[in-house]
Amino acid sequence: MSTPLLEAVGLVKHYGHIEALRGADFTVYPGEIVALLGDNGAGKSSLIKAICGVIQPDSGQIRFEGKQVNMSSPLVARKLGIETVFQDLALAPDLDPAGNIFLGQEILYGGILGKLGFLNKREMHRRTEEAFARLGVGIQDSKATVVNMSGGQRQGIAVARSMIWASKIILMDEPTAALGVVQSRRVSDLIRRVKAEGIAIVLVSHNLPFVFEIADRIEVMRLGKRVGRFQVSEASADEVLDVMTGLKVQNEQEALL
Amino acid sequence: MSIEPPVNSEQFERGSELQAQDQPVIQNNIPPDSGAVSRLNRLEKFWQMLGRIYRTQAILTTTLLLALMLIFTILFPTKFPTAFNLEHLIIDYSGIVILSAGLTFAMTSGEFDLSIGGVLVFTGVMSVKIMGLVGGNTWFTILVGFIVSLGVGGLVGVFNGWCIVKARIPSIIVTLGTSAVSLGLAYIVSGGRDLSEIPPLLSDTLGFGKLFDIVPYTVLAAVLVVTIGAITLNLTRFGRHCAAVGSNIEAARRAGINVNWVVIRIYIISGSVSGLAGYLSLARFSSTTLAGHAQDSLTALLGVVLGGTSLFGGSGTVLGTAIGVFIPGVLSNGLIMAGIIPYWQYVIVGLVLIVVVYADLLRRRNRGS
Ligand SMILES: Nc1ncnc2c1ncn2[C@@H]1O[C@H](COP(=O)(O)OP(=O)(O)O)[C@@H](O)[C@H]1O
Ligand SMILES: [Mg+2]
Repeated sequence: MSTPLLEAVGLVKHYGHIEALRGADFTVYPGEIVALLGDNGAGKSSLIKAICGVIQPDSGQIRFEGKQVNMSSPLVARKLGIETVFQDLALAPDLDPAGNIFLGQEILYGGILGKLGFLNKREMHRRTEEAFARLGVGIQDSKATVVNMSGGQRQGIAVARSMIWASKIILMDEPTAALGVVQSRRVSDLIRRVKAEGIAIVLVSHNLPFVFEIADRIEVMRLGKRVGRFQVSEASADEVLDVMTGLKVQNEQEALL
Repeated sequence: MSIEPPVNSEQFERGSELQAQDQPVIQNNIPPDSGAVSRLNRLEKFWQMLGRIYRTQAILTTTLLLALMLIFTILFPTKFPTAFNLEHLIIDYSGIVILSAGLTFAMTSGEFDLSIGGVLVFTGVMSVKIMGLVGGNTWFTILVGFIVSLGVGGLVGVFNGWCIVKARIPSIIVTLGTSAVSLGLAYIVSGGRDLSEIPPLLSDTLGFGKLFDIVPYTVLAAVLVVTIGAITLNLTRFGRHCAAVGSNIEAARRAGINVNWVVIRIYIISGSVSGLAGYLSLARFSSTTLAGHAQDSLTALLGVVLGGTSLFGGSGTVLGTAIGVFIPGVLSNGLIMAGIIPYWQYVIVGLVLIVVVYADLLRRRNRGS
């Protein structure tokens, strides 16, 4: 297999007495869909947050395209082309969809107005509506605040935001958890199209059939560590579940890579 | 990146009219009848519009203000609607308008600033003291006083902001504290009595002067602050970040916004406009008016909330605030005309504040569910 696009090595993260990550490793190869599986509390969200710079691990390394990077803030990850759909979506409910999609990277006017920090709201709305149409996000009133929108619509905004900005990796923390069947299928369509663009996707999900349908590879976490790696084409759901729950331990030779 | 249009367009949520014709939208239990769908869409758009108007409480507040003015015009046709009365009403409340414009930024970001009244008095005292040290009755003297007012206010703002973002003390406590500290320092520095050694040049120009003999400079200053404040909050990136911080601070952080710096800047703004208000108060009264601003923070707070800025942050309007402030203003003006003891205004302001906040809470709870 090709060289990894992103590699996390030995990440440790404490929250007070709780050790969320205990030397966690994780690998993403270019353009793949890799599912990150694990029981509740296994440390999946913490790992995702460490990779995108939202939390800083106490120790361990993150390498991107072979070089060690210090993900000291979310901006660092964003500059590298890494975007995240957080489990809680991280939307500002009082802003409209465009405000959320461009939050932190607002489009300003050119010239003196831009220097004074004036927002080019029209351009941001135009691009948002364009993206929604392209991605099939059904939001009729792009100037309404997010607060009155449904779970599915919010999910659509968060996913669209990541897709607009990402150039290398999208990290999705349970992107279909809040969605119905139809909307989940919509997300999997989107994921496939992003993959076709050559962008890698990290997918946290509890939905094994969904993972087996869409992912290329699976990495399993348990108690803050990586405990298993599988090629989807060569693994069975039972095997994966056994490793997830700790019934079976996968050794390095068995890991199909 | 560019993505091909979806082949099979199921929507995340409600489909657009066009797609609704292609296939039934099951989630909404709408029959696949395009007429019904488009009628429903129109109804929905109408509701969204109504909602937006409802949310811009400024309209509600303006109506309330006009209603109050109408009542007092009917009750006191010879006293209330006179140019003299209205001009003085506006001049009297210019200072509070300025204070509340700064407070609007803090509250939009989900924080409080109760120090503004105290800072107003403190900056005034410091300004007089330094102008006394500089001496003379020149433009230079009053320019120094101006810089001291804004500078001292800005410094208190830095301190407030620092305590809130670094020490993580709730802003309501921090600013209540600095309010007491600055008022106390004002009394200590002034020796407990009002200072009135204000350069006459200051009171003659800024205090009583009028632009083109029409617009008092005090009012002009308030109009400027409100205009710049409204533009900044609505149209600039900084204003957007204030709202984002108040709406979901974690989302703002994850979007890469330097949240702490946003908050500190807000308190610098709030502190220095309080300093400006202090300077204007000096100019107008030729005195430090130590005891005259006890209610200012509260009145400003009421104006901000009445104007449509949420108490919980996320959205704010400086223009709404400027209108909102005049509700307690007109009310106390009218009460005085009615011969009611003016102290009733405190009772009313306090009660109205509680009611308005309750309404804001109800609205939040409704939309939360
Ligand atoms: N901000 C936090 N403060 C304290 N404990 C946390 C925090 N975030 C996560 N944890 C703890 O760390 C562990 C791993 O959590 P998380 O990464 O969310 O796991 P997962 O996403 O796999 O369910 C859990 O025990 C959780 O309670
Ligand atoms: Mg999680």
